[in-house]
Amino acid sequence: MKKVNDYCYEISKDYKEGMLVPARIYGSKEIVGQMDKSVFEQAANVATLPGIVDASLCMPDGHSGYGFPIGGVAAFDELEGVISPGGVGFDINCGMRLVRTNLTVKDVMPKIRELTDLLYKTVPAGVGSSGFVKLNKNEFRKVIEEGADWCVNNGYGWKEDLINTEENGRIDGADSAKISNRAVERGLNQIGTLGSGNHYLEIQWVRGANIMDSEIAKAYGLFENQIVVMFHCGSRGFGHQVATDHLQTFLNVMESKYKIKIRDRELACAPFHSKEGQDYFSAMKCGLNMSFANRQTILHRIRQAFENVFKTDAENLGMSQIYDVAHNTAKLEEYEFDGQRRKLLVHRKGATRSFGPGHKDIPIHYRKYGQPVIIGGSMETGSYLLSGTEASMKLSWGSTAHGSGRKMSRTQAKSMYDGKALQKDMESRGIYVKAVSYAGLAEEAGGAYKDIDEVIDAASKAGLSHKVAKLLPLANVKG
Amino acid sequence: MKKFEFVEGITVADVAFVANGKDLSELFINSALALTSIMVEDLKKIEQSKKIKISLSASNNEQLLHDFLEELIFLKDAKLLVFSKFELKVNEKFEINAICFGEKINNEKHTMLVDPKAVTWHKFKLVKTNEGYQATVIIDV
Repeated sequence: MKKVNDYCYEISKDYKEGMLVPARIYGSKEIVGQMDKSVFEQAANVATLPGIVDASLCMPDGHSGYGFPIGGVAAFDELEGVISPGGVGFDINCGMRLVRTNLTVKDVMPKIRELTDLLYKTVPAGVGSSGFVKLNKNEFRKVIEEGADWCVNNGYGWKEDLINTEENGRIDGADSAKISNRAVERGLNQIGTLGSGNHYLEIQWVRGANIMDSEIAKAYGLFENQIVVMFHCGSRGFGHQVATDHLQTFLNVMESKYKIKIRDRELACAPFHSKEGQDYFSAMKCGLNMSFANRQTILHRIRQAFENVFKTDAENLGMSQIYDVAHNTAKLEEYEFDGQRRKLLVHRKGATRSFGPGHKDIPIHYRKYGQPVIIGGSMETGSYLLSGTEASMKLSWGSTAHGSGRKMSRTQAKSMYDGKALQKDMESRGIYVKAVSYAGLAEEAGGAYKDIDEVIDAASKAGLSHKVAKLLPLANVKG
Repeated sequence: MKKFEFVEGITVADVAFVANGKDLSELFINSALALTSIMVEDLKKIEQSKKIKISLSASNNEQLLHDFLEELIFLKDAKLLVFSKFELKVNEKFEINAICFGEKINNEKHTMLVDPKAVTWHKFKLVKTNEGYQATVIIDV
């Protein structure tokens, strides 16, 4: 591996047979040194996919996944390239949403337990949970075509929430005719649910000392000692089934019909403009919309919980959405490359869009500062609000990291931490946690994750994103 | 020969298990129990009050096991069902006929753990061993 600069390392295209471009890993020497070796193999495998442009990329929080590494970013030529479900992940449009309030730590601390207990009740989490939105199959098919728009039209949110959501919460071209009944059945009852694993809802504190760029923080709606709410979830069983269905279709045709060699079954792909490719693209967009609708409904429930506890309207509480951003997607975007304007299909698997200042897809009130980038850390260490950079448009197809990344397996974490003791310990440090199970809690211990500060620092020094504020956890609802 | 065990060193973010069986049918049962153990803490607490039939066919045994486990994930989301007992037969034509015994997820009664999203093909293996059959499976959670 060759060092390009202090925050970028390159695997040359001679490394593996069939590589069409090099693989580039962003991160400090320490961070890249700690990555498991399969990350590099997987990044190199992605570099063999037809139509890949410039390089197969990996963000500083990269760890090994299936097919693509988690943290993988790759752009494909619209005409000659492929689309791969493995470049998006099973949890289509897994993403983050951040909500501001006018409340301060002083206002919220006396009621933190009451508030968290109510959030735990109103935002269902864990395996087998059902949301409060009851739909029939036809209505559900409407939701997956209309996304968060559907929610706002049905009273679950504010018009302005849509402006502050990637793709305005509704991506065009979502065609529910490309969705199996199985996928609909899996997702039908899950709108408004968090899921489990590393999905969570958190009440966070904007500590003055943790504001790193006060101008942008102010523009994004933050102030010192403010309370904000962050949550992380995706398209639930619906998105998982869409990915599963289409992965299987691709596996059936990849080699026989399109003569693309299968190196790894999770790297199944098809030409973007093939029938299979376009079918998946439309179906995946339904997954994007389901997830936007899921997070929109959860936001509605969060506002209701705050209204209930603070006995006033969410409007009075200043509960505007700061932003909603995805980290598992494939989208057609335009870039300047080699002196040409090109339309590329950018896959981001565990990588957050990070568009720089001036980009047309950033809401007008943020445009001057760059797109808000929301990064969830572990439940013990804190999360970040960043801004997208001009440099990321050139370095990483407008992408940056998406989290801290696990360093310890779930089994290992369970043997290292006792959930009950961890909950007590966190409480003594001022973090109140409500979790579905102690075992699940132990799996998510802060020590099971890489140091978020190091990841964010490396992303910032590599030029992929700019630090705005670190947000500290005060209470956490865990699936 | 253990029915199944969760293994380290294959995946960091997800859950990997190795299941064993003296024949294919037993291997499929033990794989199903492994999958259920990812989502429910104590399988003994799952009452066998509901019966669901699953019949599937595939082009090979690996695909059949993959699809069978996928079916259980599907039933967990679509019908909110989890199972603790399986009576099944896998034949030489890559067909499975199974009856799954279980009940609806009940948070008062079952301690639910982590939610399986999908059966991945990553390092998926089904091999013949001296004692019978062994499968290695990674579940995305």
